[in-house]
Amino acid sequence: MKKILILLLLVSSLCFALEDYNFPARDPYKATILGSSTMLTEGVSEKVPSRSYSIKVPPFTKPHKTLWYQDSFKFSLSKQKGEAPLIFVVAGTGTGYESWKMKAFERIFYDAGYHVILISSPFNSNFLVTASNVKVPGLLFNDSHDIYRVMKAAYKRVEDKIQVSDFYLTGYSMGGTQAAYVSLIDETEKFFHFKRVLMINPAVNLYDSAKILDNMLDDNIPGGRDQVGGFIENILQEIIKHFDGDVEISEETIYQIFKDDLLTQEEMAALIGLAFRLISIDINYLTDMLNQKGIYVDHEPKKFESMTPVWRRINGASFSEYIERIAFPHYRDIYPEFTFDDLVEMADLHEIESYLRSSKKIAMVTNEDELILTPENLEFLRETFEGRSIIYPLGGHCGNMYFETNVKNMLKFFEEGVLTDEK
Amino acid sequence: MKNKYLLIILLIVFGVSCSSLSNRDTPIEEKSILETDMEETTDLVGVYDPWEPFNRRMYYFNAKLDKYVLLPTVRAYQTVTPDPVEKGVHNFFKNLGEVKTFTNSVLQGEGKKSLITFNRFAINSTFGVFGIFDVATKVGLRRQKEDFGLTLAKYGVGNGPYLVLPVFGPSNLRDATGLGVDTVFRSYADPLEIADASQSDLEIMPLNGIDTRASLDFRYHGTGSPFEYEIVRYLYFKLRELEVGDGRDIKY
Repeated sequence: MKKILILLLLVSSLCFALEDYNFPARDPYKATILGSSTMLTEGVSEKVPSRSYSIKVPPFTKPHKTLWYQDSFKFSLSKQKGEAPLIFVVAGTGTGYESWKMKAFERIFYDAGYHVILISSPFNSNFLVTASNVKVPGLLFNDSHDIYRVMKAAYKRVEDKIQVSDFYLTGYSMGGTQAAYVSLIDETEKFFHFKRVLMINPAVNLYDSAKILDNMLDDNIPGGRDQVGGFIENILQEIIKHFDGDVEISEETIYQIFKDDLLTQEEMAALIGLAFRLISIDINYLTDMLNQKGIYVDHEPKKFESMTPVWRRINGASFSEYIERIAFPHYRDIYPEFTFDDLVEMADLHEIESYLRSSKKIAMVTNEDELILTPENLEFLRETFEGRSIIYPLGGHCGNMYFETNVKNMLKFFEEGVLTDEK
Repeated sequence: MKNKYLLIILLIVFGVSCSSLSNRDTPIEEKSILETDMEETTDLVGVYDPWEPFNRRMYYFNAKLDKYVLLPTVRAYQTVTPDPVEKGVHNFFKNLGEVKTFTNSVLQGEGKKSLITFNRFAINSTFGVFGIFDVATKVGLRRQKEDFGLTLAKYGVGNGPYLVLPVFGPSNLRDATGLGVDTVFRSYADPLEIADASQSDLEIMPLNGIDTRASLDFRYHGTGSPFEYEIVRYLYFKLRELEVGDGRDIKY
């Protein structure tokens, strides 16, 4: 009986009751947008000391002349004065190290006493052009090897500037998924010996998640991708009608707008889809051009050539289209008998399930209303990380990462190795 | 006010940080803005750009200039200047800019705007010690924004082809003309005769430029996208169209 009671207590302490969790957005789409621009924790510094570094990660090749500005791999370090733990943060799909979200993590961890190194996503154009081995991202092991390589290179670049006690690792969205792979790679390479790893709102299957995000744009804009311009136009007009007078842009204003329910759920979904689509368009173009696949690019571009015809040919191609048109044919040509299912499996956390189950240093947080997970995906995470996870009732996709409760729990995990709510 | 929303979309789309924009008013000439056919803009790249070969080279030139000259200068300036001084300098130049807004508001027959701007200039030039402190905003007079490009638009002048100006960046034929007119006018206009310093334009122009660059959050190729030229061009047209659209003020 006592055992059952303890078990019950344990379970209840791991599950958040909705009423205890006062995250301000009940709608997952609203939460997602809010969380992409709003620090929902009191007392986090507005700005912390941080420096960007440019390195050439071997095997470095000179970028194509039209991509002259991608001349080195870029990352940032925020360093503490004395000895401190170092945490690596891996960005979500396509996101760069300088994005607001990454900087938000930097502020939080720096304030908490960590050296912080921010690493862009392997789907980010800077990473893709300057540091990707195959330049056709999408297979988790490949991409994570790339990440591990740049992490080592980044650390070597700043090694003499910082004193590190322990190494930690985190990542959100696709970066959360990759963090687990990077941790596994580290088990054999033993360069960092990560002490703790936290996966924040990870995708379980990249292809599943990409399809969900792709559809958010196609299904929620009347007329689909051809009408994106008109859609942006309409949203602006609609909002203008609701507001009068001048308000300065600030986090609070953005917060207010979404609190006031100015956008419909469809519009919010379409906006999230649009953000993801712009990344997908870049990936479609870059992988095609860099590998001379000839899908959208029919000749080698000149330095000052108009990109408008290529943009039109790409015609808003989605992430799934990238997988189907470029990534899959690419890997099928390399490996005989490579099927589409193989590709999907190699973009899925199930691939390293036993490692995830047995490795106690890895923990995971996600949300019940996470947009990028299918019900099966969520179930998989729940089972796999039993006792080492929190599944918050609200937050959408990464919308609550900077919410007070989440931040507290995250910091507590890295400090004490326990992932529970603060009660 | 509409810019706010566009910036929100930008923020979501590019994850651009708006924190530095929130504290400062940004002069419109150097921020991406403009107008085009509503029909055409459903296609994000469908902007009238017959001078694209020139524009692309100028965009490249500006990116290099920014990287090797402007940004290092701005960084040096920010390092040696204490924050309050920086803010004072910023306010000083913004106050001089009120002359332009006032003139163009009058030209457009915008009575309320002219009045607000006149009062702002009067208050800040006196109580604000030559505009170093923005007292007017504190008493509820918000900074307005007009330029000769908008005046031309008001009287029916179309935007003309997209044009990337050296140093200033995205513009169009109409707004570039407007910018020229405003600049020439500025060297003559000095209604309250407080801006003696501005007479020696050659001496303070560089400081004005540094301050302007410092208050802009834009970085060439900051999006990393190979389609950045197209996206910036679209946003310039769109934002400028919104400014022209209702004659209302747009704030950053």
